[in-house]
Amino acid sequence: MRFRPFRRRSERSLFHHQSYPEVRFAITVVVSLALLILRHGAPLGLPLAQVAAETGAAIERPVSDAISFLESIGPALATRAHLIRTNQTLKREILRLRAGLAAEKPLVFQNHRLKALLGRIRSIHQQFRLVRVLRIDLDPYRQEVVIDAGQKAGLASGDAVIDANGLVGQVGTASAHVSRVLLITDPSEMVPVEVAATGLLTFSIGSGIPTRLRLPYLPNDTRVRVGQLLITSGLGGHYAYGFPVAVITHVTLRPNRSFARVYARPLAAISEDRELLVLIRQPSHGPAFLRKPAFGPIHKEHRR
Amino acid sequence: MSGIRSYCIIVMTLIIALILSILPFPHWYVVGRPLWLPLVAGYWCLAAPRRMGILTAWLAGFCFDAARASPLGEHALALSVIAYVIQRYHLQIRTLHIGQQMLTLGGIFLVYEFLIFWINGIISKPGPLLPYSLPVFVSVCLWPPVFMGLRFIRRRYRVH
Repeated sequence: MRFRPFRRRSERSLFHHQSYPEVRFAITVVVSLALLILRHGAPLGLPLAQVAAETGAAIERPVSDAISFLESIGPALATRAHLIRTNQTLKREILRLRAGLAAEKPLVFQNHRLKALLGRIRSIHQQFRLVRVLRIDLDPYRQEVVIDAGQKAGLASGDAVIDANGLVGQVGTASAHVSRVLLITDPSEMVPVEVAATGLLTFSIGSGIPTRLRLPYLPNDTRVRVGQLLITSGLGGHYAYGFPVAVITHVTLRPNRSFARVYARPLAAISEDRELLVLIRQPSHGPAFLRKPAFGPIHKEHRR
Repeated sequence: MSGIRSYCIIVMTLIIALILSILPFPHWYVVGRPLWLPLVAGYWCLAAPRRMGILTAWLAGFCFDAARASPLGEHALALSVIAYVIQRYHLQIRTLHIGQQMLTLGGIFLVYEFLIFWINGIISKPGPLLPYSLPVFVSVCLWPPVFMGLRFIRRRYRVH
């Protein structure tokens, strides 16, 4: 081998002969940790998250369209007789429901009167918006769905989301055309609930499992029973009073602990829903501090 | 095949894995959703460690975080950790029988899921630990078909 006391500059460079995976690894770890800490300290990631949500929706929307197209093929191929039959059943169902509604109207008036007497009218949200589900995330640490309406449609963070059976969650972040809905089963979600039969007030906390809510603050002498219905209590002003939330499925008294172990199953068919209802809050409801959105700019003219 | 084209093919498979992992699917799929990104990134770290490395894995994880609006850097960190481990031991892992490979990668995927569990716990979003292991199991079962499919792509386009 030839002796070369002075190497050329290119040969002396640090990464010339071998790369150092440890160095790269250290760099990525430091950058990731810095990002995580920054995000945790302040919501710096929010604009970025909104941009990401919009770009994600750009992928999800065509797929969602394709799925609904596939779902629409079935009805399109149905026979005439079948359609007539379904039409008749639906008409009958409408009649039956109308009759039921008419019968309940006096009850509604009575209820309003009684509530007015008690001085605690809690008006239920008026404005609905039907939205389509673009994506479902049911990880244990993250239970949320992405819907195809955002600030442009008048949605704001904190709006309640329901389906035909019960409470689904609340709008977490609303960007221009899509929003993320935090489900009530998300580990960070807490819903003030009331046991419908007894009026007992407590909280439900998401468990990270789509079919289970935890009620961790019920003492061991609780009279909660399996099968009892939980509704939103309206306390805190976040969710309006009276939406069905869940049914108690499991009660274990634990005398050696402070609280009983109580589980409930959400009524909303979260994993099967393709359409949801968002209840857009009216500015006139509730005290002023509750009307302020949690974060993010909301334009007044978009909310009626 | 030139380096840039090899790299393009790797990036394309990563993009497909990314799309597979954020698509809307029925409930049973979402709960046991395979770890597509670690599977594909892991294969390339094993088969083409010169092209696919820690930085590419980190970028893929970053895109995943951005697309799912999970805390930025979470999956990026976990992916770069497993990319480092696989790249560091790629010669050893390559010599293993496919069953032993599945076991080894099962351990590595478990580390991945545990890191995500840990980060979520630190930023105060704790969840139950057990559901984290289901995707690991599904992904390990998917390793042989993914391995064969990607090997076909690697041979067809001569990526190395």
